[in-house]
Amino acid sequence: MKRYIRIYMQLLRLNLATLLTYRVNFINNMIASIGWGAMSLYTVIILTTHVTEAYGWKREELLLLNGLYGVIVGVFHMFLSINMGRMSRIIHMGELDGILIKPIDSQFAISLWQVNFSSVFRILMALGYTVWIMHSMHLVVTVSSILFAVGLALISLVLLYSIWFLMLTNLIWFTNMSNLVVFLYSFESMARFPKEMLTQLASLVFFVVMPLTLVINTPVRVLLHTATFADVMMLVALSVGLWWAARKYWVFALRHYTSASS
Amino acid sequence: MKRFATIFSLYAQHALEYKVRSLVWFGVILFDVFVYLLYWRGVLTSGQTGAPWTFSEAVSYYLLLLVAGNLLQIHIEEEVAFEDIQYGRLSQYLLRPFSYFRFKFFQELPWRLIQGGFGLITLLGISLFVRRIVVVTDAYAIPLVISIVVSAYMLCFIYKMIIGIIAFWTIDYTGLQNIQIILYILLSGLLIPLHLLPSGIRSFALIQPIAYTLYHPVRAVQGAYTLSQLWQVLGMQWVWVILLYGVYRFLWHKGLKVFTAVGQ
Repeated sequence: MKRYIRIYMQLLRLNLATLLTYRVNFINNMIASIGWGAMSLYTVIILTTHVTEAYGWKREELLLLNGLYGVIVGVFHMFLSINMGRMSRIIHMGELDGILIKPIDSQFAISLWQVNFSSVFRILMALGYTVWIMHSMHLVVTVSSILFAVGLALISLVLLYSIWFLMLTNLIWFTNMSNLVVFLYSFESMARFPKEMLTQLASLVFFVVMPLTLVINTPVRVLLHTATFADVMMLVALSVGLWWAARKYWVFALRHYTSASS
Repeated sequence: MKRFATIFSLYAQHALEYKVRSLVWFGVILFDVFVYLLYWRGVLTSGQTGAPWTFSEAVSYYLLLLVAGNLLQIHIEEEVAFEDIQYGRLSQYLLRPFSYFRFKFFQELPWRLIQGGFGLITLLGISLFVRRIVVVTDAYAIPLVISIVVSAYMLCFIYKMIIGIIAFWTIDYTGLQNIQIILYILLSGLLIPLHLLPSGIRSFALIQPIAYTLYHPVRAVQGAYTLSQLWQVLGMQWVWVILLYGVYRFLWHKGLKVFTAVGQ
């Protein structure tokens, strides 16, 4: 474990050095990151302009849901999705060979090699927006409820990571599907909406999409004091279960990796 | 022309070979459409006052958007930027005796037709078995609407080629690509019909080129425009096609001078 922490610290330093070398790219990425954050907030403002409530959620609660979505997804994009975005190219071009021969865990290397520092601005923007919305809603929050929500947000990140990784592991067989990442970004945006929205779906679709809606809904419900024990347990159980499944599936998939000649 | 027909045929085989990739692109738009329809269903059928449109209008708009998004939304920019310019594959095209622009045009066309086909089958299925979708029926308007759809394809293609060749001047293209995706989502009508945007940004959103690649064609197919409005849309599309093609030619010639042929 210590060794992996040391490796990760070194990776952070390398990423920082890259950032300082390619400053224009950083500014480019920073604008894009702020743009995504702003677009996410703008989307919900536009969608709720003429609306007082949707699926039992008041307009302000929907805005809070989107604020927290910006924070959690911002962290996810900073540390994880940037790596998953290049998975297709790594596998398709046979660069996975280079990762597999390194004396470290391949899932660790493929998931955490790069850090998108420009996402910090998106996170800060969403955080500021979330605090402002909470203040305007006169929400009473205690230190313990904030800590609990943060803890659940971290568990949500594990769930989000596991969903993405499970899906992207399929690239071992379908190497040309680089657009699967675009689909996942689209799929992930479902988390911005109330969980109740999905209850009208057929049970099979609900079962597939439901884990994603827990990612943001559960920490927000904690802040709104409407979370139940079952909500929290479901999030924890799904995070642990899907994490385990993602790990097993990756190990299984590697047995079918045929290198650059595939 | 025969050689471009051959390129089309070769890439049609390629597109058919990678059907799953087409299916994923189709899934991206289908999922967005599905999420927005679910949201509007909850809002518009709950009996709230002051709703900006009816659920029936929302269904019609988003389902036509599903077809238009698959048929008209070009995805060539990633390949142009990453594979051709940054990995240096452009050299192969420069040595061949035909235009890179036209090559890419005929390369992309089969992908659009296949994905548009997925969208059309879904639309027909829903229209036949679930809910009838109203489209333009005026015999005088139909040729104009078809011209608008074809022009939208050309406009989107030129726009995406411009985005792709900007990679001549960047080392990391990802940021730029993200910025253009955000602009495209906001200004094409993918999120919400542009006429429902707040008045401050509506007038700008309706005249900028991205609106003519998706929003206006969808509204034209819906039958929302009169004959004179259809001519106006077509005229504006061609103004943008000519302007953007000029920009493309300018950037292409400038870009070739900085291209190092071994990738960046």
